Amino acid sequence: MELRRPEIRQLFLWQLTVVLGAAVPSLLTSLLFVPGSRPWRLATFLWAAAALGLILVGLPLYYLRLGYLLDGERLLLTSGVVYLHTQVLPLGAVQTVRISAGPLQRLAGLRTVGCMPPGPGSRCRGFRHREAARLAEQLLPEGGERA
Amino acid sequence: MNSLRRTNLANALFYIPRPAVILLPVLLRGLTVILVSGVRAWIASAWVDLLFLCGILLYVLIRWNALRYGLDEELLCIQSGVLRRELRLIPAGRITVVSAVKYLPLRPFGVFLIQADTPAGGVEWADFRLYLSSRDAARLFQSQAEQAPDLPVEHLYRPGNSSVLLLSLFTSNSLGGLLLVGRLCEQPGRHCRPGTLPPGVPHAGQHWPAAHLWHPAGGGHAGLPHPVRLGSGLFWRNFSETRTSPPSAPAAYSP
Repeated sequence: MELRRPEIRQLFLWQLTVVLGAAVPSLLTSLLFVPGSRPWRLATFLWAAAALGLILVGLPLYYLRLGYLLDGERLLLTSGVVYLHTQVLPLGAVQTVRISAGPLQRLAGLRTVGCMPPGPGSRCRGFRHREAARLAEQLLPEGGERA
Repeated sequence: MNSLRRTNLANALFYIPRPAVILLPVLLRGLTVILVSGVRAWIASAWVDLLFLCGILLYVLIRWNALRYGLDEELLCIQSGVLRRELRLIPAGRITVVSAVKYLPLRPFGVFLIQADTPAGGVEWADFRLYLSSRDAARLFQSQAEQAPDLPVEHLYRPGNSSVLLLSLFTSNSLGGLLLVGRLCEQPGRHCRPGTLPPGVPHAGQHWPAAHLWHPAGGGHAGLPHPVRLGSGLFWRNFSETRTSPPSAPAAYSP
């Protein structure tokens, strides 16, 4: 069975968030240094390089490593760029399930599904609304019968 | 899923503290204006303060309106959040602790704090934590009440007078303290007995939430460990029911 990836829109959302978040270092650089001066240029280069690196390399790599697989009794999750994580969650251990969405996610029609076992929980991002509801149903104890 | 219901308006009260911090500078401004220019000048500019107050009340009401709950068959749902919306699904079979707290300021309104927790819940914050009227609490947890068997109270533990006196001697050195400790120790036994529960408080076989959550339709309680029920508190009355493991856990964890 093949791992399923989140919607590609989730990657665009993360990239958009970084673009919007870049306003903070941009503002700080303009406040702390005289625009056009050498320190200002250096600071601008640093934050712009970091943002571009994140948008063009970091986030796509992170997205490509994300995946989930539901095979009857277990949920398999993969993530991580430098450190690769693989998490196997027995469905019998799932206690609560959460479907959440921030404002940008809602605009893009995406949802995040979180499942909470006793211990650290895990989240699967970038599902369509209907798909998130279906996954939540399957993660619940009587999911098989209810679905 | 049936339509989700709004919670009691008492829940809105607990959204106030955080946005109310904004009122502090507004209050300071008002005091400064009164001290420097007099009350009339403050009254003339009071619309700004009222605007802030209205804004906070509106925010609190919007957050309260977004908080909904529902019970569908054996699934407890809580929807919350305005900007970041969240739907929390808690299977009733996973709930291990249910408690109803009756806070002193909310007693006149007949409002309970109903908390239900699963093994995945945090130490300080329950998975389900809502202020509900006794009627709503009964309606929420009573959907399967007809099929739910009655839970007998097999053992009633109540501290004896000598134990209370001994504990009081160790924990207090004044007559008022002795009486207070004695009263506090007396509460658990009094509230464990179903017949002596205060009116409106859910109890075994009637409206006790845990009884219904743990005994869904068709399910029996034979062979399951009996729950521990505890009633305590003088001003903040707390009634809780705990089971060491949910009935579905053994089957669910088997490979």
